[in-house]
Amino acid sequence: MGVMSDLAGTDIIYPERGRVHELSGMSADMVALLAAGEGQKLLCGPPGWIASIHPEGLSLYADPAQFLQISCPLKADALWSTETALRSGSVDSVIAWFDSTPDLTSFRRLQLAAREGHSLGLLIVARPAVSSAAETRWHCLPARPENNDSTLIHLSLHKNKKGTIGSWNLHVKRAKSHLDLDAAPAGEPRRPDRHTGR
Amino acid sequence: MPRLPVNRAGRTGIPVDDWLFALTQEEKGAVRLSCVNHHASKAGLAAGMSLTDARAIAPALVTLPAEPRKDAAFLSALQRWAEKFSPWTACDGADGLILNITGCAHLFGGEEAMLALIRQELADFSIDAMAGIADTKGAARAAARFGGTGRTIIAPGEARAALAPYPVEAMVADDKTLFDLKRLGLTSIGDLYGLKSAELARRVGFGFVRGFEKLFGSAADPVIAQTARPTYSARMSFPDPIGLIDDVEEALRRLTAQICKRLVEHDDGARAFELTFQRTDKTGTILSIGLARPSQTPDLVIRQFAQKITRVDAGLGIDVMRLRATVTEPFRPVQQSFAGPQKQSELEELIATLGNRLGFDRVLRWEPVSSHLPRRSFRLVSAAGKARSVSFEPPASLRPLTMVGPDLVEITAPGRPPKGFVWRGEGFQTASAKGPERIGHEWWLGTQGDAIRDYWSVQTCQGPRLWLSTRPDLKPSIWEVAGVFP
Repeated sequence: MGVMSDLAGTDIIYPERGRVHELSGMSADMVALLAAGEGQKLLCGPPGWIASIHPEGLSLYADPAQFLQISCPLKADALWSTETALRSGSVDSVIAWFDSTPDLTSFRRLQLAAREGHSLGLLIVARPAVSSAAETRWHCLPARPENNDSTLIHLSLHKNKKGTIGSWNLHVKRAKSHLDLDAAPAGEPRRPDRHTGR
Repeated sequence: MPRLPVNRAGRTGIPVDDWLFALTQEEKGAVRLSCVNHHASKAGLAAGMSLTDARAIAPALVTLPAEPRKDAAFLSALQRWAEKFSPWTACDGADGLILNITGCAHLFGGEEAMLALIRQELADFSIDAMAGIADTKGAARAAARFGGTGRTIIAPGEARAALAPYPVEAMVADDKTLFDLKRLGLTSIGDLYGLKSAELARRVGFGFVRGFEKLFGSAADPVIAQTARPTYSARMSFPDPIGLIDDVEEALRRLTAQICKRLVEHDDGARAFELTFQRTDKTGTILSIGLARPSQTPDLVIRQFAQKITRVDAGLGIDVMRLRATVTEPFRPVQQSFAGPQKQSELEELIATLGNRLGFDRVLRWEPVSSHLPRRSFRLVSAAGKARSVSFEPPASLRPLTMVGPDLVEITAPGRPPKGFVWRGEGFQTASAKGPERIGHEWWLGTQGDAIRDYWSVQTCQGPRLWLSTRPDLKPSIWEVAGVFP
């Protein structure tokens, strides 16, 4: 499973193919990239988010030629595109951005589509809802690494339909041709802050 | 065909012959007449006159705006019609046709009879035509346009004598050359016979001498036949109007099969299709789809239409369905990558599916742009019709994963870069910083370009690594967040 499958030696749980997972927090996009790994990827989200991703910065972690972007100003279009792409199975993973967690019905549709196309769905959610039909839910926050060239991400798995929850410190180091990943357990998982009102 | 645009307007049902009628076009900052009808030219109006002058001469003048594109399409339709007289036909300018009738005239009863027949058939189309027959393309053109009678035939070998009284305008030349010739007192083609070609070339240029030689056949000037690109369309009329979705799908399947068969025969692929429905009450609907790559596969086309076909309102029933390939390209079946042709074609179908619903300008790919400015080093291009995008060179220095703002930060502890700041309502302390990287503006844009900026990669104690930027020329310095590193 992508780059994260390099972590098979450690006890980290990683997003399973054929399912849709939910990521939140400031480092969610980076974790989505790592989880998607090699293969054709589809980015789906509002035009502003699509335009903000810098392919030169991205090229350090993934090949920009493997990406296809769909810019959808409307949430309904984004949901439809995500579902169509997941169902077709012609892309390995779909990374979609939503301002809030899709409702249970829409999310269930996505789950069925991902199962049919055997593709990986990763939803980056800016304001996670209390309940979600995601297979796993992750909260990803950047942490300060000891070494300044690497990236340290605090990963909290706060929902897992098929197993235990947990929390890890994911250490990403860029080597010449590949990424060095290392995960260490880090206590209790942190839930995202509940959004009040707007 | 001196009145072709007016004739075309007349064919659309406008009773142009009842009025003083002209078509107008904006030219050189004024509305001018581009073509006038018979009555109008009798009243003293002519093409090129400004509309205000024309109104002053003939207050009853009726005008319509000219439509040059429709005129050109009409002319090329006439060119295809003219292929019944000779296989070598071509358009001449915006209002003429040239036919090479060598070896064809006797089939229509000789040159005179053929000329009469062509004029008669054009008159049946309600087109005013002037015709001429001569040895060479240039001479025939001159005879038709300046022959006066409209049925001039110049016998073989007599072109020199026959063309002598014609004005120099009868030759293909630009306005400046014609002006120069007139300034030299050379007003008719006969005046040029006495001159040495070297003299003439020195005065008015070699191109004109060449045209002069072509006029009398000393230089080759063939009629280059316009071979039409095959059009791919198929229609189906039903004995009884249909309205069930299954019937429509079956009809579409048959139409697509016909077109795809012809595409395969011509080694072409279609990128876009248009499906027209005509209902019993003569109203219509048009559905159009696009594909990511030229294709000949009927199933692919049907699947793309299947999304839209349910939204068609059949009304009282559909009488006629017409499918047309609107964009065609040469078809090259190639394996595009090692991902396997199967995977690639699946991806292209996904691009088509998404594009047909959202618009192809929403399905995008990155393309590198040669620029050192971080914001300009890439652009988003439509993914349809492109091979796999070019890979990016690894950047010379670190670039953030996401670009933001630029968001102004509020400085709580000054420094370079600031030791403490507030960004998006959260306080950050600088743990370590790398920089500055100075990125200059694009000086070739002059003052239009951005200012020179210094960029710092700042690791904060709170976790996020940010790309801070500032302008070195401003005091006190203003800091902005330009991007976020993973």
